[in-house]
Amino acid sequence: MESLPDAIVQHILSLISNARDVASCNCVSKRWKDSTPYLRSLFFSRGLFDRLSNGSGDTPDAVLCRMISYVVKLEELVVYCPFTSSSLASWLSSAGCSLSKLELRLDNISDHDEIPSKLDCLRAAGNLESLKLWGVLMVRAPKWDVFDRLKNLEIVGARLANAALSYALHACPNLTYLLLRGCEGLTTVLIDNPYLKQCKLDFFGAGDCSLEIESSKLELLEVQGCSYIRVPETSFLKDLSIANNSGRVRVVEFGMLAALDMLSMRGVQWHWSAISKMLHMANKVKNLYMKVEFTGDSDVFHPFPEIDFVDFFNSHPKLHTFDMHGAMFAALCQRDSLKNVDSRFDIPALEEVVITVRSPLNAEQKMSTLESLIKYAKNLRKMRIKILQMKSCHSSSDDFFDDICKFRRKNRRIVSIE
Amino acid sequence: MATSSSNTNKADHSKNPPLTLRSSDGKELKIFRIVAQQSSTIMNLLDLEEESNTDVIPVSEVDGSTLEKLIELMNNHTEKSFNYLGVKERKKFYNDFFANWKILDVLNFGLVANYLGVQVIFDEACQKMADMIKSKSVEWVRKVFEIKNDFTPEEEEDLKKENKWAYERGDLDDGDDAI
Repeated sequence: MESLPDAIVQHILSLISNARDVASCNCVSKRWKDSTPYLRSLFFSRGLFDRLSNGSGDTPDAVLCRMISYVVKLEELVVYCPFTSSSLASWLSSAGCSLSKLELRLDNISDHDEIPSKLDCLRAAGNLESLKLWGVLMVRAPKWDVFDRLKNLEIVGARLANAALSYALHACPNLTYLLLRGCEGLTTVLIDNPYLKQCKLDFFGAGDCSLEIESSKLELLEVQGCSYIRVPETSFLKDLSIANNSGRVRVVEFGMLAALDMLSMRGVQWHWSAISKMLHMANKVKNLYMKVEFTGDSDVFHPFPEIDFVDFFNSHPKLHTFDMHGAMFAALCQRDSLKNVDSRFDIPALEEVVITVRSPLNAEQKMSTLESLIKYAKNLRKMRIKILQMKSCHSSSDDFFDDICKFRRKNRRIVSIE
Repeated sequence: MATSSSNTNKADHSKNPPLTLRSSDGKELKIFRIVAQQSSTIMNLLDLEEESNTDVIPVSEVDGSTLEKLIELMNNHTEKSFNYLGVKERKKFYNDFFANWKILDVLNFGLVANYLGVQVIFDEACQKMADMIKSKSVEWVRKVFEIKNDFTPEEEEDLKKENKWAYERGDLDDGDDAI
């Protein structure tokens, strides 16, 4: 290794980013120590300073500052171990300009505001392209300028406030990817970053958040925890997933969903108007995942109303995979669901179906619907039937199960049971 | 044989017979032009060779066994399926290729890739060496790379104090499996 050009030593060492390894390499020889400034990324793991004894006179903050200040043009910094805001301010004063990727575990949610707050300090990293924060407290607007280059923003585990989030998003005009996961405290969210392509939102709380997105280039949207959702410009939207674990989905308003390939609807209860609107608008969809358990406009849960089998499949002609849970399947198995089926009907694009069955009610209708799927979907390759805990105190559920097994035997190539 | 223009020859892939490279220890190895294109050095040597009209390209800096392994890796790179490998699969591929190699052999291989101008393989060899260094102790690194400790005792003492936090974990590897 002694006769190697410096450039090669530096190249190898620049691929080492764990702070502990870097510290080790610093002690190997003078040449190795002189290569530390050429590192491109540094990673400080969570328990890094767990065993730092007090006697050594070193504090975690001091070590962090020292290591970071060694590097001349640090591009990427990930810190999972605890640190103070003054420490953060110190590193960013030396490394702030060159940093393009920053990931910090703030663990602030239950804290009171530090002055200066850690979020405020981030202003010094004005050239960031990617920012990921864990455990954020952002209830007042952070003192940020504009992050011109920021494309990627991820916040995981946060307590936010409407105005603070709005301010933060406006500080990132060129954002293309936004992730807010496990965030509480929001009631009204407006997102209008013009270049946003992917948006993943997961809101904690009562599930009654109101969301409006005006980003017209949006291609992927995942939302959890909203009651009102409005996205007027959707010409590029390909993937859409709406879920609500704790509240009701009441109103959804979307533009034309001409490009939509994948739609997932989940939750305990959606208003029927929202469900039928989504199903109606997503008529070009190829993959449909339907796990809404009940409908109803009030606190009372209602089953889905009857859905006409022919009408449903004719209005979703490109449907390729369909995953439906109890309520949806039951809706297709009502008394008159199959009344329009005739010999000219077919479902050419459907190749894969997953059906989750929860109750043995209407067993005969359910079997008819299953039979119809096999009969009219000529290209069907796979049908998986998932049977969840049925109350088997009734003999009808045993009979139903028998029927399903017979059905499986008859169509062994296609059907499987779980 | 008179060549019209070396550019036309280079564009014609499978029709051309493979090139012959001769290593420092006299081993002759065949490599198809399309594979050889990954090496800027070979392409340059090829220009020279075509002017002097010999059939064999001497690669005098590289021994036969290393050259053979390098050509094998370059062949893998030109396979269509290789381009479709995901990040994880690529990582696994190179891990498998370098499995059980001694670190000085990886270094030698990387230097040869560097000499022959095959950037991708050079980068992977450096990555492999970086991976091998991770979590190893200072003594291990010095031993395995044959590096002399050129710090004075005082300097060494200072460094140890400054970086004590890195040692305190106590689980830095002293394994000599890669010697």
